[in-house]
Amino acid sequence: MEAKDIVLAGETKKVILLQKTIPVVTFYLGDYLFGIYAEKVMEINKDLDITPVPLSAPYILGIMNLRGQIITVIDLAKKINFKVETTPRLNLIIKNKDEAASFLIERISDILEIPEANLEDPPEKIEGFDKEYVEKIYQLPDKLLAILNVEKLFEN
Amino acid sequence: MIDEDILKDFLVEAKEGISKMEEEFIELEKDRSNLEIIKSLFRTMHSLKGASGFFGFKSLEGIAHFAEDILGKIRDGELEATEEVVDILLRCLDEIKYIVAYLEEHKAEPLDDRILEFLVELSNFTDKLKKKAQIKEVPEKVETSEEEPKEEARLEEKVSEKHEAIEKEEEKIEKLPEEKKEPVKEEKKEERVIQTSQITLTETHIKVSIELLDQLMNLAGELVLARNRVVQLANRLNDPELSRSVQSLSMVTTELQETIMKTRMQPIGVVFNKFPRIVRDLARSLNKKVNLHLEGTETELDRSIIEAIKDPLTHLVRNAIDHGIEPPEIRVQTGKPPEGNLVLRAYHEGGQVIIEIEDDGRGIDIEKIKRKAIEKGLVSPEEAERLSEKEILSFIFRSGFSTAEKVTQVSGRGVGMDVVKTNIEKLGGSIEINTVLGKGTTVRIKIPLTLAIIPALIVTSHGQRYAIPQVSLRELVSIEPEKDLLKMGDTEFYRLRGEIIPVVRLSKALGLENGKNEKSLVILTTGERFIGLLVDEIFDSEEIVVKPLGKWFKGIPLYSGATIMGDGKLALILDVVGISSLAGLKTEEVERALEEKKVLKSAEETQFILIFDVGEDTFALPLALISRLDKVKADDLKIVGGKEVVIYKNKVIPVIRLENYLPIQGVPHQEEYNLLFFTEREKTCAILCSRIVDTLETTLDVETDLYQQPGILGHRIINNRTVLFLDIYKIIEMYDPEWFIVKREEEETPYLVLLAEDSPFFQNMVKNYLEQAGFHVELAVNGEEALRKLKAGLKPDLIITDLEMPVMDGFEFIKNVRSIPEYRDIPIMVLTSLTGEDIKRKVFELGANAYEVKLDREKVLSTALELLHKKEAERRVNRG
Repeated sequence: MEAKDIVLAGETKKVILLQKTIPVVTFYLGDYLFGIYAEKVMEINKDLDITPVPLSAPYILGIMNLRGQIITVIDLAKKINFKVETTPRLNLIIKNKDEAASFLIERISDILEIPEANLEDPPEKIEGFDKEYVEKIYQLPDKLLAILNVEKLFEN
Repeated sequence: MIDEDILKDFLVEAKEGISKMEEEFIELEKDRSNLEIIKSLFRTMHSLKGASGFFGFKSLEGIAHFAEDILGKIRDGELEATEEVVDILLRCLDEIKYIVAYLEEHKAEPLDDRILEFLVELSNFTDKLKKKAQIKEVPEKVETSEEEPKEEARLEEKVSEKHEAIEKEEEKIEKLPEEKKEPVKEEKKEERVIQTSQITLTETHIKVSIELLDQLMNLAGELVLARNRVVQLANRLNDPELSRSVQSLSMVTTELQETIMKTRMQPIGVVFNKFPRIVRDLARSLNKKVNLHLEGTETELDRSIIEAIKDPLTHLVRNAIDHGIEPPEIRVQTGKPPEGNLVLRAYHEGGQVIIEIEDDGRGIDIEKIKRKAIEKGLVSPEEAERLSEKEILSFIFRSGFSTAEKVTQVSGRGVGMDVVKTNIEKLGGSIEINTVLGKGTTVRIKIPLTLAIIPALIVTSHGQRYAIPQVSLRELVSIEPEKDLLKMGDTEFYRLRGEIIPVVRLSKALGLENGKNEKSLVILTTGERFIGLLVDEIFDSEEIVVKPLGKWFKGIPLYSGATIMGDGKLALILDVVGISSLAGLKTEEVERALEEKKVLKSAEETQFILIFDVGEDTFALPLALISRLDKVKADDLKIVGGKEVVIYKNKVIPVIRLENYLPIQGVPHQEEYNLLFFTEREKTCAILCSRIVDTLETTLDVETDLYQQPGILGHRIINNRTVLFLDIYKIIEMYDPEWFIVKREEEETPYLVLLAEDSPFFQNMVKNYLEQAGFHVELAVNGEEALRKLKAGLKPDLIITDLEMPVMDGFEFIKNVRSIPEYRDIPIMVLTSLTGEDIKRKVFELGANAYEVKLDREKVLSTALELLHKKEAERRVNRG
C-alpha cells in the first residue's frame, strides 16, 4: 500500500486503518489533475491509430481497434470543454456498464488511495472546464483533484 | 403424442437438474446441516416432479415425489439427514437417471419391475420414517446401509477404466458458471464414479451463455484477421514450408469460424412456435376460424436475425388474420371452407432465407389502395392509372397508409407496414407482396442467413476505407464526373442506359471536400431505388466481420457498423438506405421516372424536361441534353474577338443568347445569370437564361402549328404558361453553322434515311440533326406509314424507327420489314427515349441492328454511319 502512504503522509496511521479508501487513477490535462475511479479504468495504452468517423460530434476523434473490440475515441478535453489547448497522448480506456470508450489524456499520474470520507462535492464554480462532469473533488496537499463522473462522460 | 422438441427441452433440463443434485448431495454429505443445499435440492426435485407429471411419466413423478417429500421433511427439521436417508435419496437419483436415459432413447418410460419394487421400497421407507419420527426407534436398516459402501468400493475398481471419460465430462460440467465448489473436487469425483457406474447420462446439450458465443464469434473474427495478415506475410516471404503451415492454419481458421457461426444458428421454429397461440387468440377475438400451418420450422438463421424478425412477423401474421382472412359466414358464401388457412413457411434459397406468410383470405383490393393513395395525395389520378399492380401495392409500405376502414386494436392504425419494411431492410432483407383478390395474399420476406460476417466491397474516400454490403451492390461504372454527370441545382444524376440515377458523392455525404479522384461510380440498390455512389477508389470484395458502433454514432444514418480490416485498421460500413436518403428530394422524381419506365411498355414516352426563362419567355429542353447547369456573375461574361464567352473551369466557352436567333425580348441585365451547357465531341457552348423555373417529367407532346420558327420545335401549355420547346441543335447551328460539321470521307450521294417517329418533337429534332449531318430524311408518323412508303418503292439506306407509335408500333414494323425478302438487308436502328434490357433483347430478336437513345445525337449519328459502312462493305463483298 505504497500509494496510501504517499497520499496520507502527515496523517496518523490509526486513522488510516479505520478509513475506507477508494483507488483513483489520476492524470493531467494541462496543469489540471483529474481522476477516475480505478474500478472504471480498463487500461491505459499509447495506441493512437484512430479511424476518423466523419459527421460525428466534435469531441469524438473516431474509433479504434482494441483487440478486436471497436471502441470510440473521445477527446476528453473537448468533451469537458477544457479551455486550455492540450495534446492528447494516451488512451485512458474506461468502461461504463457494457460500453468501453477511450478518453484521450495528456499525461498519466499516480494511482491514489483516497479516503472516502475526504471526498467533497464540487464547489459552485469551477474554472477552466464544465463543472457538470465533476463528481467529487479531493484536496491534495498541493493540488485539487477533480474526480470525473464516468456516467456523465458517457452521455451523448 | 408428445412434441419432440418439448420432450427434448425437458430432457435437457432434467439432466441439468440431475447433475446439479448429484453435486449437491455430495455437498450435503460433507455438511448434513446445510439448509441451503437442502432447499435447493428440494426445489430441483420439485420442478422435476412437476415436469414429469406434466408429461405423464408416472414412475418418474412417483420417485421424485418421494424424494421431494423426504427433502421437505429434512428442510422442516422433521427428519435428520442421516447417512441412511441420504443414501436412499441418492438411490432415488440413480433411478431418476435411469428413467431419464431410457426416456431419451425410447421416448417412453421403462416398464421394469425393478422400478415398481423401488417405489414399494420407497413407500416402506417413508412409512418407517414416520414411525421412527413417532417412536424414535433406531431403524433396522442400519445394517444394510453399512454393507452398501463396501459393495460400491468394489464397483469402483471395475469402473476405473471409465475414469478418464467421466473426468472429461466432469470438466465440462465444471465450466458452467453456477458451479463453484472447488474444495471438494477430489472427493466429489470419487463419489460420482460410484454413482455413474450405474447409469451414465450422456450430455448432448449444455447451456452456454449468449455472451460467451458472441465473444467466441468476435475471437473467431479476430483470428480470421490475424490469419489474413499471416497469409500476406507468408506470400511475401515465399517459403514453401511456411506456406504449407499457413495453408493449414488458414483451413482450420475457416472451419473454426464456420463452426462458431453454427453455434449461433437457431431454427426459425423458435419464432414460429409462438404463433399458434397468437393466431388462436387473435382469431377468437375477431370471431374468425384460422388453421395455422408451420412449414420449414427447422430452417436455421443467425440468432440476431431471429430476434429481429420476431416483431415484423407478428405484425404480418396479425394483418393476415385481421385484413386477410374473412369471417366464416363470408367465407362460406364465397364457396370457401369456413376455416381460413394461414401458412408460415421458411426455406433456404440462394444463400438467403425466404419466409412466406400466406393466407387464403380476401386478398388486397388494388383499386381501394389506388383510391386511398390518390385521396392521400401520394399520386395523381392520371399517374395512378399508369402504375402497375406491384407499384400500387408498394403504397402499403408508406407510413400512415392504412386501408382498414375501422381502427381496431389489432390493425388499421396506419403504423406498421412501413416499420415492418424498414426493419427488414435494416437486416439487409427485402419484402414483397403478391395478392389475388378473393383468393389470398402472400407476403415474401428475403433475409440474409447471418449478419455477423458478410461479403462487402471496399471503397475509399479521402484515403479512408469504407465497406459496402455486397447485397446492395448492382454494378460499378468508371466515369468522368465533369462530363458524365448531369447537374440539377445541388443534385447530380447519372444516366445509366437511359435510366436517370441520382448520384451521391461519398466525400460530400461524409461532410468532407469533394474528392479529386472521384471517378468510380458504385450503383447501389435499396430494393426499390437505385443510387450512384461516387467514390475515389474501389478495392476488392472481402468477407467482413460486422461490429457495432458505439451509441455515440446512433444518430448518423450513414453507417451501419464497422469492421476490422486485414491490416488491423478499421473501416466503417456504409448503410445504403441511409445514403439513399441523402440523395434527397430529387430522388422522388427520379423514382417516379423509374416507376414510369416500368409501365412504359406501350404507353407514351416521358422525359425530364428543364423549364427556364429567357426574359419574358419560357422555354423547355430535355434535361438529358444539358451537360451541366450553373450560375455565373455578369462580370464573368466577356466579349472576346466579337464573340460573347464565359471562362468556366479554365475553358473559354461561347455563350449563345437566344434573342439573337428567335424573335424574343431576350435576357435583361442581371447580376447573375444561369447557363445551360451543351457538350458534344469535346465542344461546349452555353445558353444564357435568366432563371431556371423547374424540372418536370412529362411526355414530349407539343403543338407544332403556332410557332413555325426554326429553332422552335413547338409549344405547350404547362402550368398556365406557354412553354416553347427549343430545338437546341438548330439554335447551335444558327449560331455556328460549322459547329456540327464533321469531315466525312467519300461523300458521293447522300444517304437516305427512313425515319418512323410519331412525336413531332422528336420528328423535328432527329430529322434536323440527321440533316445537319448530311442525310436525306424521309419521315413517317408511324410504322404503317413507313411500311407503306417502303412498299411504294422507297429504297432507304437505313431505317430508323421509334418503338412506341400509334397504329403500328416499332416492334410490329420491324417484324414486317424483316418478313419481306427485299428489305431484309436494310439496316434498322431503333431509337427510343428510355431503355430496358428486355426491350433491347426483343428488338434484336426481331431483327433490328442497333438500339440507341434519341437524345444522344452523337451516338445516333455514329451508329448510323457504322451501320451504313458495314452494309456497303457487305455489298462489296457480295459483288466481288
